[in-house]
Amino acid sequence: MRPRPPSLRVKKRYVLTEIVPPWISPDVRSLSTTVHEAITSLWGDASTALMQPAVVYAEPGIAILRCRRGTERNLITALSTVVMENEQPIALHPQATSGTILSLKKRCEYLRQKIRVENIVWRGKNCTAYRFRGHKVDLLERGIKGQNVIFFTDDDCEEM
Amino acid sequence: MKLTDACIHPYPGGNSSVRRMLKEACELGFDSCIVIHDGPLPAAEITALRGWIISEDSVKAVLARMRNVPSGIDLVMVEARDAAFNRGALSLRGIDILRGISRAPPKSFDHVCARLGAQHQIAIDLNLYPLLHERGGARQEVIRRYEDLIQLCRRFKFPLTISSDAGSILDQRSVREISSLCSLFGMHAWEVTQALATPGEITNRKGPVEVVQ
Repeated sequence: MRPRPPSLRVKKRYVLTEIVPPWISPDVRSLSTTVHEAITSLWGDASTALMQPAVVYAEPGIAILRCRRGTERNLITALSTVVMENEQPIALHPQATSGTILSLKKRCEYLRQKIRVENIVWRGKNCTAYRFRGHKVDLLERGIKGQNVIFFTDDDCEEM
Repeated sequence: MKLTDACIHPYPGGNSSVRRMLKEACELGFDSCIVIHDGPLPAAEITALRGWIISEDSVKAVLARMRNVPSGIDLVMVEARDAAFNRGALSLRGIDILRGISRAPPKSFDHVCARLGAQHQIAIDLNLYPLLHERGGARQEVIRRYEDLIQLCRRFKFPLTISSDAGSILDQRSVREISSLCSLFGMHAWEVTQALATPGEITNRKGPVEVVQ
């Protein structure tokens, strides 16, 4: 099928989103399902269809989403209501909106974080500690009943 | 104008430490937070105010609890119940915020409560936690109640506060996100800013008298 001329194409907007915690590796398909569910739940089927949301890019800590121009505010509102992805608690914080993916990828540099992974013992349990920018430490504790994440800073870890 | 998250519950109530929650709040655009925490509050980039929640079934029990409020508490909050309780609580001195309207029985906050809130300058809290975590009918009910509350607020001019009620950094939202969430029940951006500044105004009001020259 021949692409439409620019004047007939539907205008799109791209939303750069920060994924918290940044050490989660998001799968584009499951993230897309989560976002669709959140938008449909908040705005309904008709608005979601008009919005045409899609996840176009994802890496640990960052995702770029697409929607129809004029609906980006509704998309941002719906992204605030995302609390769970693949049975893992997450949060999506929209950072910027643009008309091109390229300009958002330039901004990704500020969101990329160097994450240091360590194995530590906390309260007699083996935990994985993720250390990253801003003296932040996320402790991931795996048990029989599932995993539990505790969010600390370096100062808290020193005090304990 | 200080933008304040009106309620956060750090570790051990939640899964994030006080320092981490204050750090995240700073990055999300807040100037201060009301922290529900028994231990000492650390020095951080933003101001941490100490809050105290009273959750009782009768006004008499609330009065008894208010006599035992520890020193160093910046703001006292009371959990909303039925209409009679809310009217009684909004007439008490020493209460700063009435919270939990979304969990209270239907029609528990009416025009009489609104008038009392405006008269005694007691703020009503809009809790964003159910907007994020509820789905379907439960969330629709919360949006409907908050819309009703906003209409009463515009008519009677009682103060509003906005809280994330977060026990984790994953439930904290930025000022911009809060603004878009509040637009769901018809709140304008300037009303959101005003509501986020209310806790700062309450603490200023409670401070010592200043001589203005």
